[in-house]
Amino acid sequence: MAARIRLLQMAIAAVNIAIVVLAFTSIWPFPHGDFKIHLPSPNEVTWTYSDGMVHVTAPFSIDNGGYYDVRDLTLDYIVFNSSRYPMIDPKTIPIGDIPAGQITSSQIDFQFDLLRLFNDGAVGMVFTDDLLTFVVDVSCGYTMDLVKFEATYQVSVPWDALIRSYGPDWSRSNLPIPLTNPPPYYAAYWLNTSDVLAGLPPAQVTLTLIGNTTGTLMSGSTTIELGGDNYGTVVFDSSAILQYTDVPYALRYDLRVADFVWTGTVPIQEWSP
Amino acid sequence: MDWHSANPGVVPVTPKSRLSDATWTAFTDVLRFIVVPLVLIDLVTKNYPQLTTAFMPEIKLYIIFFGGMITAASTLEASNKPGTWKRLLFGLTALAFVCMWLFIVLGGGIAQFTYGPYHVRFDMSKIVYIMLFGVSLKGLLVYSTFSTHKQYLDDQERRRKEERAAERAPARPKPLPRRKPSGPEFSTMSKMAFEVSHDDSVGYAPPPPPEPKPLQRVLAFKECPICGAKASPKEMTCKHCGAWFPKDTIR
Repeated sequence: MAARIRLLQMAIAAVNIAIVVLAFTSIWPFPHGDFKIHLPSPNEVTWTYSDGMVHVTAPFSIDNGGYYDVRDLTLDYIVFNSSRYPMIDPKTIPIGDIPAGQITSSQIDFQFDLLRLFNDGAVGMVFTDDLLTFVVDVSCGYTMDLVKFEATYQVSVPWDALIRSYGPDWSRSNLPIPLTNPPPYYAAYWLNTSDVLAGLPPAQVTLTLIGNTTGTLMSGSTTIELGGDNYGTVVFDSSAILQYTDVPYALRYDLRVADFVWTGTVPIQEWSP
Repeated sequence: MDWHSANPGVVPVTPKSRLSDATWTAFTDVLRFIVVPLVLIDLVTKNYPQLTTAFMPEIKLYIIFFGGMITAASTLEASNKPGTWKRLLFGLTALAFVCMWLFIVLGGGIAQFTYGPYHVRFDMSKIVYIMLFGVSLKGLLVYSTFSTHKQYLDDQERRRKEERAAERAPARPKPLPRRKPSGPEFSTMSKMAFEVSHDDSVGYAPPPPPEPKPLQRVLAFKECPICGAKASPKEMTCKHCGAWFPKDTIR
């Protein structure tokens, strides 16, 4: 009888030790960092622009350094801008199983229609810097699906405005102000754009001098290279000004940068040659 | 076979050792299920405030309650004799409370960790159920101990009943000592038929004389009818003269 009790005690102890080992080996890799998800860092994210679409790729890898295989790993992600506007619909990357001790690499790959946003009035990301937040949900099974692991990570990636700044450079311009100022009349225009746009067809810049009462006085166009800080000079038809006695008071600009078209007016009073 | 020789190593617990056993059980269980867990929970909640489980907001209260129930049940278990139904009941009750306590401490197997933008959720409920199964295996041990000692107790009880019954039974009348025959008794009288005569002094007729048995003369030696020499009864011929002895003399 005593031998039976002892045997039972030993069997129970053996089962309990096995359970403790199972629990420990199932949980330990997560806090210890043997199971790691290497999310993309901001400098690993690549951006390309084409026909109004911004294409983003961000590599990531999953290191299963634990004792058991990872089962049915899926990665869901969504991208928000700083105003929590979803840039894309939620997407899923089914990774599948990762055997113990192996590393699996893949990449987050999505694109969003910046031109549509621009045309809808959400012009912020075209002209101002932003912060895109990648919300990544990882879920998988571990230890023969005895453990379910779910994690949510966020990676914030700075978004550089496509068109950083633009405007007339009065110091390099010569305008009929006062009217006695001799021709030729010209206006310099500078455009600072993102490197993402480099290589695309140059920007089209049309400037128009607006008079106080007579409206359009004279206009001219030029092209400016995209990518970085570039200048262009618009040369006006100087003969036209002679027909007017009106003093130009504003400069209207019509810009077409990549697929983005917009217009605006700058008061000439600001001009201080 | 004696119970002790059949169960080597199983020592019956005396009332004194039961009391000390119960005290020790209460002390160790308070440490194991209340004091140490509370200290650990305090350390964890202070160092990792981001960690949350389902029972985390009132986990200390739960630990005190279930730990107290475990301690009470275990103490009552230890204070009862092994092999009694009470001990089995309290043992299994303590085990049930241990399972509940473990479930509470492990947060039902679901732990969440939130740190800044990161949020991690572990669902280990299946492992917790396996752990509960492992703990409940101790129920087999409790029952096995119960059944082993119950047999011993039953034997003891049976013996005690027998002794008690023996004590309660009325004393047997002692057989009377045989009296020496002081005169003629019926039992000592002969079964032989007797004739009543007028002569009181005779009483009954004398038994018939026994039939005379044929006399067999057994001689230590025999004499030769020829020469008169003595010879052993086994001899067939006389050693002296060589004459044959008669047949009826040879044995």
